[in-house]
Amino acid sequence: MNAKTLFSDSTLVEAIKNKKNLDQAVLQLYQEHAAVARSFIIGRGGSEQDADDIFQETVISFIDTVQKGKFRFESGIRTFLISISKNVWLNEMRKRQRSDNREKVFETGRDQEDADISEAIGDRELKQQLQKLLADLGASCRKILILFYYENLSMKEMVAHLHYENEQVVRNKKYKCLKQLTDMLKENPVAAKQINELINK
Amino acid sequence: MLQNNELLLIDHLDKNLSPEKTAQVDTLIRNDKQVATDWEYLKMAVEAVELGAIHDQVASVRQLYKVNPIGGGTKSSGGVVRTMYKTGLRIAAILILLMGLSIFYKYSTVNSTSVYHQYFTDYTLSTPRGESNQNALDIAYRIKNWNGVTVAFNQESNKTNKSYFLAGMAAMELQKYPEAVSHFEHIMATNAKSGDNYFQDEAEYYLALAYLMSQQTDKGVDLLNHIRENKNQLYNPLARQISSTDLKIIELKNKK
Repeated sequence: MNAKTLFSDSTLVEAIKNKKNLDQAVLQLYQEHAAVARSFIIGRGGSEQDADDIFQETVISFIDTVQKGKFRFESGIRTFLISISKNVWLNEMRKRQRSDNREKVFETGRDQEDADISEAIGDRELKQQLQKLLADLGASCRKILILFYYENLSMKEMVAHLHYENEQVVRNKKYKCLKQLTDMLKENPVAAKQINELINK
Repeated sequence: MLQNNELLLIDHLDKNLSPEKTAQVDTLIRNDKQVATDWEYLKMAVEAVELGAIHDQVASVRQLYKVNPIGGGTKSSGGVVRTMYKTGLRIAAILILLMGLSIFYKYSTVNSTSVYHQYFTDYTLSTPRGESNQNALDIAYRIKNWNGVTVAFNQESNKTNKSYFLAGMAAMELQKYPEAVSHFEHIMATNAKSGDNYFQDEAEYYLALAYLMSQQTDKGVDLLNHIRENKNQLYNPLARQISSTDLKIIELKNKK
């Protein structure tokens, strides 16, 4: 697959929001912006693997921000992606090496943050935990929950897609899977802390 | 969480409630701390699902980008040189002729059997940690004693989806395709009833290939197209390697 359709910034955001040609849109994000983010990270002591991981995390944050309607074009896509990559990498380095001296150097590389950039970076640890929990959930539950809550398939469509006997079987299975995931969340300290803060606000 | 509240909250989350009931649940969430906590956990679960789905999609594009970092998106340089016009036409004519020949060649060589032989791969059983984990069926399958697999399968009293799958694969190896179809269809019917996914993806893929070899081409092509569209299917990457032109040719030949 090549990103044959070249999106403008606004059509790219629309494609991500509507989940149409999403693969092509993501590929274009990589083709146009990954190299700049990589050179920043590698130039500040990161490995190639770090650069790839950080940019992947950045793109996930960007898509999540757009799909939740929180991307307000306060900055262009490039500025947004590069700022997130820089901030995530600087935070990562701070975590890895906590020397005061180095920390001062890091801070000089930090960009001014727009509101939507801060929001995307804000709950990084929680987002990482949530992705990990879903990965631990098991393939069939993962599939069912993604089809229903992300792809927005109806029960009828899911019966056809998954070759289940009827809608009730899928409904029961989805209920069990959601229950399993919420139970896992309740046992996760980062998730529990977040919920506690929300409830006791 | 009480079972009733739990179901109510899930219905609320899935937007299955009437406006009146929705208002009642909203009030309950506002006034009952425990219900509010459960509600936040449910919303967080959906957040996890969304992030996981995005992660899968981005990770697959990342792999693609690593293979082909530059990609398409070529822009026209503009400015056509007049003297190149005739040469361009000649080249176009030759290309059309070559395309015609290659289409003819493709049409005459592609059929169910060629696709089957190109995309059938052996299924390898994972290695057990201890000998005690192995039963007669597993052992026969590992040493590729296909007739032995059939015998062991027939002797098994508690047949699982795995037993049916291995028996189906042995039938494929012995070129008994209708028998393989019957075993794989059994797995899918069992899963459809129980809501499980045990050996579902494997059975789907090999059932599609078995259909191609047992004069049920339409079913085989439909199932392969289904797998190609389903990004979460284990065999999606393999099915996507099959050219859609090849599948159309098979369908076309079958209709004749």
